[in-house]
Formats: sequence, structure tokens, C-alpha cells
Amino acid sequence: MRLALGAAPGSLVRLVMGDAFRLVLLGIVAGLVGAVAAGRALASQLYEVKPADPAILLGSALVLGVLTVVASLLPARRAARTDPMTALRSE
Amino acid sequence: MIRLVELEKSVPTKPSPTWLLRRISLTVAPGEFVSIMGPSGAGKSTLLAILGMLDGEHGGEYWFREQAVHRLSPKQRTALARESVGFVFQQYHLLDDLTVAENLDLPLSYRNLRSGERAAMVADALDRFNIVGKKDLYPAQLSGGQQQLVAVARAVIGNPPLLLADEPTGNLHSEQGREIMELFARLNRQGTTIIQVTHSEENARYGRRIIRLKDGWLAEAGVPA
Repeated sequence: MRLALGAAPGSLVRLVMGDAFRLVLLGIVAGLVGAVAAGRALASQLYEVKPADPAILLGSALVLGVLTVVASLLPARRAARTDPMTALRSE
Repeated sequence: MIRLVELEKSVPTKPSPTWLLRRISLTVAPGEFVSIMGPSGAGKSTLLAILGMLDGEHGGEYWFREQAVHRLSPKQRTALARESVGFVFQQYHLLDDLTVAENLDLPLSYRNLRSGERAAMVADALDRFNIVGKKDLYPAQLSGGQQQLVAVARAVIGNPPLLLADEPTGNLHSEQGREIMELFARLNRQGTTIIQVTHSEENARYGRRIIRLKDGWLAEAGVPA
């Protein structure tokens, strides 16, 4: 529908990937807060592991970010390449 | 405004291609209100999609305001359509997760307009179509007639010179359909060129010319009875 209204394919890629990143960002923030809280609660039982290792936390967030790009790029590109008439007929 | 020369459209099938449009030549002058009629499968919607520049894969020539649309790249075609064509569909095709005002803003958001200018155009359209009170509602909260009214407002919000409509009253009851057709007639009187696909002889009479298609061929052109 957006293509039929004049959207450029690139703007659709940005839209789909932006939606995915917004969700993942929420997840990352919640995950980091949860991980730090859980780390503190379990600190007395940890051995040779820091309760909130910045490298591990940032690394995990980075992996999740890369996975988001990989997972959302394909549907985003598919959406951008959709023939507007086919999409309109199938709705 | 529009000139088609030997326009053809086929889709690849085996053993031979299936022809959807055959050697269509016609002209539409600025300010005309044309109805395209014909049985199902005659090629009406295919022709409308080509006229709306949604489909650029065809043979023959398509001239729009002296521009050779058939020679444009997909990107150039999209840019021209964005500025020049408004589309109204039978199923309204409003975006369900956007409010009425956001739906109206959608085509403007793809143009190079400042946000203040866009807001003013949306406010003007809400006022012009008497839907100010509905601006924060979602499509599911509107009747079919109201949804189509919003769809028409969205199609003309950028003041395109050409309005295309594919069975615009197909999902409406007769009174709502009449209101939409009266609205089209008013827009046409204000200068918008309109081409509609319709099965309804009554709706076709709102136009000044009827083009009939059959099996992809231009069967007949004439004035409404």
C-alpha cells in the first residue's frame, strides 16, 4: 500500500528495519537491566565471573544487533521489491 | 493529458503468453471524467494500474502530459506518480494501524514537504471532506462509506491532476455509493481528471465518456446513455 502511495523502496527497508530495531532495543535495555540485577543477586555465588562484566553485556547486545540486521533485512528487502498491484490484489 | 499508443500487456505463460491488453490506443484530455467498463477479465484494472504508473512492464507508448512514461526508470515513474496520480480502491486500503489524520498524511510524507505544510494540508483535507471529528479514529471505527471518503481525501490531498478509481463504490451500499460518485463529480468540476473502472452503468453516467474493454481489446468508446 505504501508503495502504491508513492513510497520509495528504500524508505520501506528503513521502515521494516526500524520497527525491528525498536523492538530489539527495548529487549536489550530490559535484558541489560535484568542481567545486572540478576548478577548482583547472584554475586555471592559467582566464581571468577564479574556480576556485571561490561564486555560480556556489550558483546551480547552487539550479537543481538547483528542478528536483528540479518533477520530483518530479508523481509525488508522483500517488502521493498513487492509489486504494488500484487500486494493490493492479495489484501 | 494522457495518450496511449498501441499499448500492450502480457504475462508469460506456457506455451504462449497470455495477453491482458491488446493494442490500446486512446487519449484523455485534461478535465475529462472517463469510465472504463467491461466484463471481468477484460483488462480494466490492468489498464488502470498502467495509467497509475504502478505497472511499467508493458509494450507500446504511454504519454502523460507529454512525458514518455514508457521510457522512465521505475524510480522516475514512482516520482511522477507520486506527484500526479491519486488512487482510490474498492477495498479502501487504509492502513489499519494509522488514524484518519495519519492516513491522510501518508502520501504527503513521501513528498519533499515540511511538516508544518503537511499538517496544514491534512487540516484542510479534514475540513474539506467534513471529517474533522473523525481525525483521531482508526479505520475499523468507521463505516465503509466513511472509510472510502477518507480514501478519496487521501487520494486527492496532494492535489494530483489525475484521480484513478477502481470500482470505488463496489463495497458500498447504494446511498453511500451515490455520495462517493457525487463527490467525484464535484472534484471533476473543480478540475481533476478522473478515470474510473466500474461495472455500474449508473456510476458510469457520472462520467462524460465510456471506454469499453473486452478480452483486452478496446471494444467501443462512447458517451453515457
